[in-house]
Amino acid sequence: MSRTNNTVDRSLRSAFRDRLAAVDVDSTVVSRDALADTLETRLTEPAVASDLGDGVDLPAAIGTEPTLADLRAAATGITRARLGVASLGSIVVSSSPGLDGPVSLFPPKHVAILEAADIVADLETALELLAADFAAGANDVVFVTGPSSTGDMGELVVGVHGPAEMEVVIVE
Amino acid sequence: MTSKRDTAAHIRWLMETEGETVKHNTTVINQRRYDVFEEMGEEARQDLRSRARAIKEDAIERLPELVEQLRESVEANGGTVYLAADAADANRHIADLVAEAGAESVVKSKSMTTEEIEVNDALESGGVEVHETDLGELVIQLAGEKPSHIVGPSLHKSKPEIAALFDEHFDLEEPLESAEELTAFARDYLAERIEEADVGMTGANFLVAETGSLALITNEGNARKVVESTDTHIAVAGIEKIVPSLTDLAPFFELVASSGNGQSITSYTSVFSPPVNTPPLDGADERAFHLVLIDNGRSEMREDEVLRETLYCVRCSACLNSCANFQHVGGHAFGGETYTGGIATGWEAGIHGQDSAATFNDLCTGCSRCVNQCPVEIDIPWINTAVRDRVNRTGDDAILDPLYAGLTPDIEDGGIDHQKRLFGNFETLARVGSALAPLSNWVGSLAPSRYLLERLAGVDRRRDLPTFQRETLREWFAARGGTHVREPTTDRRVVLYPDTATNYIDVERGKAAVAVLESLGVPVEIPAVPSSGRAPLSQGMVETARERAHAVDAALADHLDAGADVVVVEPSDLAMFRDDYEKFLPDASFDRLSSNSYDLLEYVYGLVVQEGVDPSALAGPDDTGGARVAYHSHCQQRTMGLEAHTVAVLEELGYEVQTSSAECCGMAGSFGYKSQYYELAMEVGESLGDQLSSLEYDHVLTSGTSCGEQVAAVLDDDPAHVAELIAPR
Repeated sequence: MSRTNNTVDRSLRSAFRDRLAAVDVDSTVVSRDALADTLETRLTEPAVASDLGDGVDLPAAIGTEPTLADLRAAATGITRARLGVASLGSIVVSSSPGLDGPVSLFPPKHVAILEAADIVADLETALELLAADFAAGANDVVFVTGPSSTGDMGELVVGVHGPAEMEVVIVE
Repeated sequence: MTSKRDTAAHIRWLMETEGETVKHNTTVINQRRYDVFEEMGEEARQDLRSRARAIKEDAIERLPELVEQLRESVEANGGTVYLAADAADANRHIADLVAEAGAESVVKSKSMTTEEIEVNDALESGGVEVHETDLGELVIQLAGEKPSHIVGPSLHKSKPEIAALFDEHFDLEEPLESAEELTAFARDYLAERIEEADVGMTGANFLVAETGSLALITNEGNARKVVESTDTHIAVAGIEKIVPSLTDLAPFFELVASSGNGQSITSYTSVFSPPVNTPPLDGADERAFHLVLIDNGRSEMREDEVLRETLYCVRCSACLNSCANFQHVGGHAFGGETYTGGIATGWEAGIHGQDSAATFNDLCTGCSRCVNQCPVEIDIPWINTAVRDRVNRTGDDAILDPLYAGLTPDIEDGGIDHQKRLFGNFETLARVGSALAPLSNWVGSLAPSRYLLERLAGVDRRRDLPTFQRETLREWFAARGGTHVREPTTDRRVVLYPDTATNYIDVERGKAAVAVLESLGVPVEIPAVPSSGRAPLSQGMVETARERAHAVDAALADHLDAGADVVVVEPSDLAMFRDDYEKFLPDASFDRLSSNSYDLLEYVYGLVVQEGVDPSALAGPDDTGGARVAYHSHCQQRTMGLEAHTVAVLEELGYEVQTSSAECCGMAGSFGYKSQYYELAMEVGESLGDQLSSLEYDHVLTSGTSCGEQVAAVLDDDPAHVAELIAPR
């Protein structure tokens, strides 16, 4: 998939991080070289990951082809994020063809890796890019905005069928 | 037909058992919606609304074509599509799909359309286990109840009630208490059900014709989990959910979340074209996807000029949460077989039939507070009024009593009930009552009269009746020799509209209005103009209201053409001129009246704040004995965006104004007089009364007749009209 922006718009990144904070999602900005070390400090083991592509050296203990049992046992799930939406603090997880969907959903903590160049201004822009992805064969994305939550048990509770905790690691 | 006494008892019982929890939950969400709307900005939200509306209008217009396009897209993706004519057809097909998958259990994410077709019952009767995974749906499934709210199906259940329900249904080691404990238990319990299940069933918030995609909007993450964990996915959705392309989804995601839950966007908004490629977690080789499209009356709704707009509904529940009646009684009274709240009249009439809509349709008072909240600009009060009109025509209450017929000279066909007919003809009653005052007031207040009025027309004995004035506003005005402005300070001249309440009952506020306008140097006249038709319209007597619109237009046309401004004291009548008449009058007539009629305080605002007319003759805090004002603006006045004008004028004169946040006073014209609704109306009124009495004020003010009557009934105080406070002393 192509890079979204050629240059990193710092005001967009800062707006995105503000919105992430507003929906209770932590974020950090790291250089590409520091990414693997940063991930190690952010995860609670046991951890699972989806295929993160080249250039990300995970500790050997973290499998990238987890079984259902691995998913259920995991404390942290690590995935890529396709996009960040600055106006909403959303990340877009592309769920297919790999296991990004379940890895981002089952464990109680989700750590998402986002290229700074993939932060877009708003939902409109995001959907235009995703429509192009779909035309090129993608077929499964989810806008994730903050932790899983419910108000159905009498008051707001965080962490229902999905994670209670989220962190976005922005790579530049 | 349910008797008025049974209706009253049912409402009373629901207010006692569910009212408190419903009120708490709906008012919290209602406020959150206003907060997030403010964050979005009015202009941005209006832009999203008009885009969303245009997409829906286009999609419903082209629906047959989009259904076919969607079918081709889904089939090209490797899924199947079945268009079910009705609920039974859909359930048969779904049962077959489940049997083909060899499934013993099905897990579901939240879907009102599956509630509509009652698929759970159909599957369970075939021996298949069905588990709801949305926690709200789980609660009502365990309780064996129907959803009381479109978005929050168990919104009527308190935390202790849910804990007791879990205790009853599950073998718990120790009772669960906190919301965290309840959630954790439900999550673990449902994770096992999801793991065991062979089929995942979802609804769809939107379907995309071009790509064969579904959009699912949740906060819990259960829809994703249900889809990813099972190898067979069945999606059930009404045909109205289709939009043409992926980019059409953009305005809806933010609108649904903000209008529904008061969130900028929900935690999970999924867009996917099933079957997806994520390997099935249950070890199966491949995924199967089946889309079951539901017609079940929708094609007929599309052809019905009243019900068609309902198909634009995105089921966000803003019209439920912003409705004062809904807030106090919930969807188990204000709802039909499946759907709840103001929009439910459209859904129920179209899907389950008019009889289902008729059971709750009268709970919409037409206060219009939902109108600006709806993300797709549906005229929800109009759907309620037009369906009420249809229901009226199906009755068999012939008017036999010649006296009664003489007092109700409407042009409706037979069938309408006595109660609606009486209130719909309120102007005639007021005219006769005024002519016979004070005798009419004395007779009307006698116990035998009240007994008869309640028995024959359902006018509740506990409610004080309005006091008719012997001298009407017009008679007073003529007797004083017309306007007292001899040297106008402006080119403007005003026709003060003699609405029924101001002319016959609340004459003092009319005199105050004249005094306020004249003190600003504006000459006033009060010609004979018929009643606006608000009273019959509120009873669903559409043809009578239409006739009044033409009569008002005829009476005001010459004045308007000669350059007069029409000033209206009663906000519900102004709302007729500005909004409702669009349906009744030719465009040119409607434009002439709507663009030249003003709320009294809006007009004063224009003169004083915009045109710089000296307001020093008006009464300020020094003249009236205090600066602190508690003000409840009329519901329709707020919908027209006119509360701010009154507040600004009062502040200009030196008052400190605090306003209520209650959506409506509960009286709503005739509603609070009706014996079957009196107690609900009083409950709504008490909420407003509690707000007002928590304020420290020197003056309590209202702008509508109903609001004034209601505030007087619930507060140990008699509110004045704004004009009465500021009229020169």
